[in-house]
Amino acid sequence: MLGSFCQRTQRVVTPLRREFLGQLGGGFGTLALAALMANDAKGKQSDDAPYGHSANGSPLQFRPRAKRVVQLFMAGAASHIDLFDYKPELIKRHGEPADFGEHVEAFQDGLGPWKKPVWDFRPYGECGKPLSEVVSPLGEFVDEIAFVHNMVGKSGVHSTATLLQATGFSLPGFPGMGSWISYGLGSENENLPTFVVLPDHRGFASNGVKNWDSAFLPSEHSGTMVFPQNSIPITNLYPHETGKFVTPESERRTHEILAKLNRQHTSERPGDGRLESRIKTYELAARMQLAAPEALDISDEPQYVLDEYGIRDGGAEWPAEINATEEADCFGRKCLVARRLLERGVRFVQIWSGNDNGFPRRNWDSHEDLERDHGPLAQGMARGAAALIGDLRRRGLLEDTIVFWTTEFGRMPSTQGGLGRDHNPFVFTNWLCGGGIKGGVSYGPSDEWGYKPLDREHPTQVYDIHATILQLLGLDHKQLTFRSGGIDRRLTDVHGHVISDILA
Amino acid sequence: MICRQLLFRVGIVVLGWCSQVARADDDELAREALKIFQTHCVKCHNARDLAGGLSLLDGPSAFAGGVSGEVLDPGDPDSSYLIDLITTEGGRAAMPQEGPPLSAAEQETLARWIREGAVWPDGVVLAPPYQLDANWWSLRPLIRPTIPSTRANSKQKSERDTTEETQPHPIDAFIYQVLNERGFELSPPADRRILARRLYYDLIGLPPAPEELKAFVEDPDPQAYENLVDRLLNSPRYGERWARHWLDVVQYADTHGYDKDQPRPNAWPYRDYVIRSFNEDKSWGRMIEEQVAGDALFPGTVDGIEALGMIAAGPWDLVGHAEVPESKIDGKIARHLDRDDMVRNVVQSFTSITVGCAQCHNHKFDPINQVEYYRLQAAFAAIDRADKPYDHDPEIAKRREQLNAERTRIEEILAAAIAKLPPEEQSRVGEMELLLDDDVNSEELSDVAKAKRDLKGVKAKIEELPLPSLVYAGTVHHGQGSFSGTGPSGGKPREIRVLYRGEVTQPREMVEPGGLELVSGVSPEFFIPSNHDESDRRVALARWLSDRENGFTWRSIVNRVWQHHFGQGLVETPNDFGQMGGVPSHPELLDWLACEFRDGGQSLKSLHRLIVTSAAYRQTSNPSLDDPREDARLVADPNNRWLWRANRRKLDAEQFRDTLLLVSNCLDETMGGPGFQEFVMEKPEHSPHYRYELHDFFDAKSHRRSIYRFTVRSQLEPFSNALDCADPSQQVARRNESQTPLQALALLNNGLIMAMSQRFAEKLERLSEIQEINDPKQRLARQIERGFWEVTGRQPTLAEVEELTDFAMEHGLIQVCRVMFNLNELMFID
Repeated sequence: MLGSFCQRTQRVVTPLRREFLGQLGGGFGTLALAALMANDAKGKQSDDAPYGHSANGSPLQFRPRAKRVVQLFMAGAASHIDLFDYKPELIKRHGEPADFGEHVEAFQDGLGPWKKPVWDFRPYGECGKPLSEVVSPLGEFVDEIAFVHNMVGKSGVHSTATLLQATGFSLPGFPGMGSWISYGLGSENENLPTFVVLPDHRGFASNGVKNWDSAFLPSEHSGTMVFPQNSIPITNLYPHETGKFVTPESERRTHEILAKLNRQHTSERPGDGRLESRIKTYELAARMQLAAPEALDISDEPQYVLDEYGIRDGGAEWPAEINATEEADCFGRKCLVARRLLERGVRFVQIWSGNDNGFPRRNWDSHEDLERDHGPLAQGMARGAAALIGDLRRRGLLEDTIVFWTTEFGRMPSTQGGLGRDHNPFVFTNWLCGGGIKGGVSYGPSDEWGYKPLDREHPTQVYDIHATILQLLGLDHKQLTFRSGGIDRRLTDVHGHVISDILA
Repeated sequence: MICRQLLFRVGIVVLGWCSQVARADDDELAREALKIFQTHCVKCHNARDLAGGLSLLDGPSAFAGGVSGEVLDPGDPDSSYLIDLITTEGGRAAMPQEGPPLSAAEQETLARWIREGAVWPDGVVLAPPYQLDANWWSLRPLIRPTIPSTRANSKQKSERDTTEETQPHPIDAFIYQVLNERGFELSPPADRRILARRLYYDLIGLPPAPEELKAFVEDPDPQAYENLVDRLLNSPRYGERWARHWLDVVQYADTHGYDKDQPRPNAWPYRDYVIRSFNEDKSWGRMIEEQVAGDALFPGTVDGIEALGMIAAGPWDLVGHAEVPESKIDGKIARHLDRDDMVRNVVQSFTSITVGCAQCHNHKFDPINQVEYYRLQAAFAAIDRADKPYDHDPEIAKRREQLNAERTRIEEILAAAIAKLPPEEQSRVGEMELLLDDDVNSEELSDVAKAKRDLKGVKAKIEELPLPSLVYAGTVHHGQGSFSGTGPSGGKPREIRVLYRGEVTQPREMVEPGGLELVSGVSPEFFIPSNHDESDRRVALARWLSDRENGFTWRSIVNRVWQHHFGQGLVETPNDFGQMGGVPSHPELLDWLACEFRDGGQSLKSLHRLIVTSAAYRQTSNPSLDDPREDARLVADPNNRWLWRANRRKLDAEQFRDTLLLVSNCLDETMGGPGFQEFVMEKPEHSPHYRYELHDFFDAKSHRRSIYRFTVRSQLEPFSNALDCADPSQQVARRNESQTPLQALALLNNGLIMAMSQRFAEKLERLSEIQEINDPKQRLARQIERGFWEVTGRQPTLAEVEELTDFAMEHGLIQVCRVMFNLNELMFID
């Protein structure tokens, strides 16, 4: 029946083919899709797909080392110098006039003297990686972590830089990394969203939802925001408060009658797959209403796990000043929820630390006082992140889960006059661990100041990180494409090299 | 034409061919090898088609390999997969797939090339096959085709044909032609009830009231349908509906987006301009000119100013402008990206040319080079996005213009007078608010004093005028600090240079404004004199866009309109008429419509009338099918490109929401003005938090049509977002259509559904003729019948009434209303 189609689309990689069909109007797309999917899944293992298929039926291009990803995004730009990238030269030169050897165009004018890391560093693990004491809980895991110290961005403006790290493009209107992965790999548990976002509950980072939007990809690949502490943790998961008339019994009948009337309607209109699909979404919705709260409920977690994550009793009143206990609690809750989602088959979880760069700072944009903001934020982050890695390892999930820490850019090795540091898009740090990542590695050093990459000709860019993560998931970043506005769009645009030095 | 041919020239592009090649032999060998790729391989192995995931167009791609991994192992032909593929065995080889095997000599050349290191000289790019198509449909000049004399097959007599035996509707003539060739026919006409519902939603975005529906169904007038079409086109609701389609394309929103996402409180006059212009049925050429250069082409008109909102409708990076000056790299990037958005928003929206692709390099698939892209940027070189003041009262506008001119004149006199003073006095002048005669001890100083007095006088007169209105538009910006715009330098256009790889740090040659060479029949030269005003650049661009010979423009708009009537365009990629886009299903029909529209007054309403009166539009979406897996039409044309039936359409977010409000008797039909808000705004001073969850869904102020929503760019209203509304950070030509569990949850649980279920139930309960029924069950049944009519446009079956009435008896009418809002029958229009 679909002969002409198959022929036309044969040489297109499957995700594109799937979407091509999915996009078609008139309603037969879905039917065609189903037929093709069935074809894809059947007996082509050996020839076309030596590495098997993903959950959505498309063949993988590499042997998958990981199945899922959790991304920790520090909004506002976390300082590599004070956390992960040890610069003894700065300690030596602390307070001396900063000489970058060239004109530096800072975001805010007025760079001051060299500024040593606010906290002491000491080595950890067999690899002896020095870490700042403010992130010391991560020391236990340095032998599993690959640090990339020569990340460079394209701009020192939060919005465009955040979009670049989140979506691979400096402009809004491109799908988030998690959306691409959802599109490329599909769902492992259709009762939960494939891509979940845990925003900082105090506000969105720059660009808000645009960082995890599906943009031109079909909307099911959008990051679904989850606010575990809210009475309705996912928008519209339960009846809005104006709908007090809804009772469990009326809800049961509603679904029953709706299905009946919709089936009758569908039976009179043969050949339109959308009608049946829509009926099925109501069944899935009902299942999600059960699955989501179960996944988000941490009340049955043992006390020692809550302690590890730094989670305090619910309902704590926090002081007005930023403090490490509160930061650990709010970041730790998101990390624990992330683990629960990942183990239930969510493909990509994105956790945000830091709100909208406003004041008082609950974000990493420490222009004024780095110790004041970075201290509590980093302690909280490190506690939650370390607990998450340890917890995943204990459960055997770290083997095929990538933990990926990032931020939109770094901070300057000099002050900007006072106690803070200005933006540094010229170098910053990422780190990864878990699924297929080689541990104990520090890849791509920055220069002695942490101002630019040591080898300025060969920096690492977000495209390389994205290409690497996609490959670990079994996807070729050059083949994961979607036609939009006349271009076969990719997460990595026209760039990207897999960083083989950090692969196990 | 000569230039075009140059663009299409076949052969190897020899950029930097010589420099990196070590030996002449290598050079010769590489040339031989690449010639083989050019002749035999790149037809499929190119950046567009990527057969096997492999492109052999350039070195990096070739060495990267394809799906099966690397194909070249420099130095070792035996382990190079490419050699395996091309080697003949028994007269056959795996590659080339489409064509005879390579000759033995060619095979040997490639093996030798690999053995000697597979040198691919830096920068050498082979010519892709797709640029060779000078005959690509959209590049052809727009010439009016003759209407074919085709008639319907004898069996397929539509309702119209029986009343008018003479000629078929011109649109149908084109469609019959394609159908007849395949032995297919149009489906029978939809019944009037379904047709009316389709027409209402298409033209005004709202369903007919049951009474209107019944009146039309029973109307004996042979012109009943045509009358209905006219009535709907004349409804102000029409402009509200069709403005939405255009605002999708031009990225309209009421906040800036990016960091902070602050409100843009004066965006709405542009939205109202679009609604008003559609309702007035303004000619499309005029609308193009107004939106690009209305200030210069139609001075003194409100529309000429408000229309400029189009240039500014897309996202704006506030921090990149307001906190970073143009002298810094980040400031340059922000302004470059800002102009890029203007170019795409204007040129792509009107012409469907993906010009943005030529920002970093020559367009890969269409004949647009990078210089041309920057020439388009130059048209916007002087302007920024900012609030532009204007007056609604032409008298006041005139007065303000005079006074402003007067002010400029006096300022010049003052400056001249000051210049005559000795230097030490010059610096003091600024401090003196007004020089008193006593202080004036020289002739020079007295000139200054007079000028200062005059200036004060004229400023006072300006202040006496009523405050001007503001529209957020593309305009010369008179700002301060980092975001000063070009106002302080008299609106002088910025220098625009070609940016190597799109990098602001790598500027190359300077360019003057100009159009695109690929548009045949219109000169890409703007012929602007060197001492021109900023607006002359936009005027030239506007005229280039609206030129009657610009085939892209006329095909683009008729295709967009067609798409919204049929669910898919004649070209399925309304924003891309290039070679990565689609080809028209009915090329002659497209051209005929484009010419008919262009030459017939460019009236959108006439175009709608023409389309919806065709038999093709009026056929049923649900013809009797054989088994869907067997039906010949489905097998041959599963996506209905040949239009053998109507497409069942899913309501979009706005149609759905407006329907809820309408049937619940809540719809506030107030037109225009600032948008209604469905959120509570917190922390507006830095980064506003748009708290949708705090909105009171019973608040009548928010019960206006969706087009009047205050759209937050970075955070769309969740209910509409779940229903695939347009993302104003993208030029949306065609919305996504999804069925997802989150959408089902929104339709079951969102506060609007709950609030409107309650209001709908209240309305039904208040219906006087039903209230008189004593039996509660019977009363409920009548209320449900009425509600069903409103929501689906039909009488429910007895079984349906019984089922729903039982449910209502037990749980209340409100529950039934919620069920009705979730019906597939409401969501999909036959």
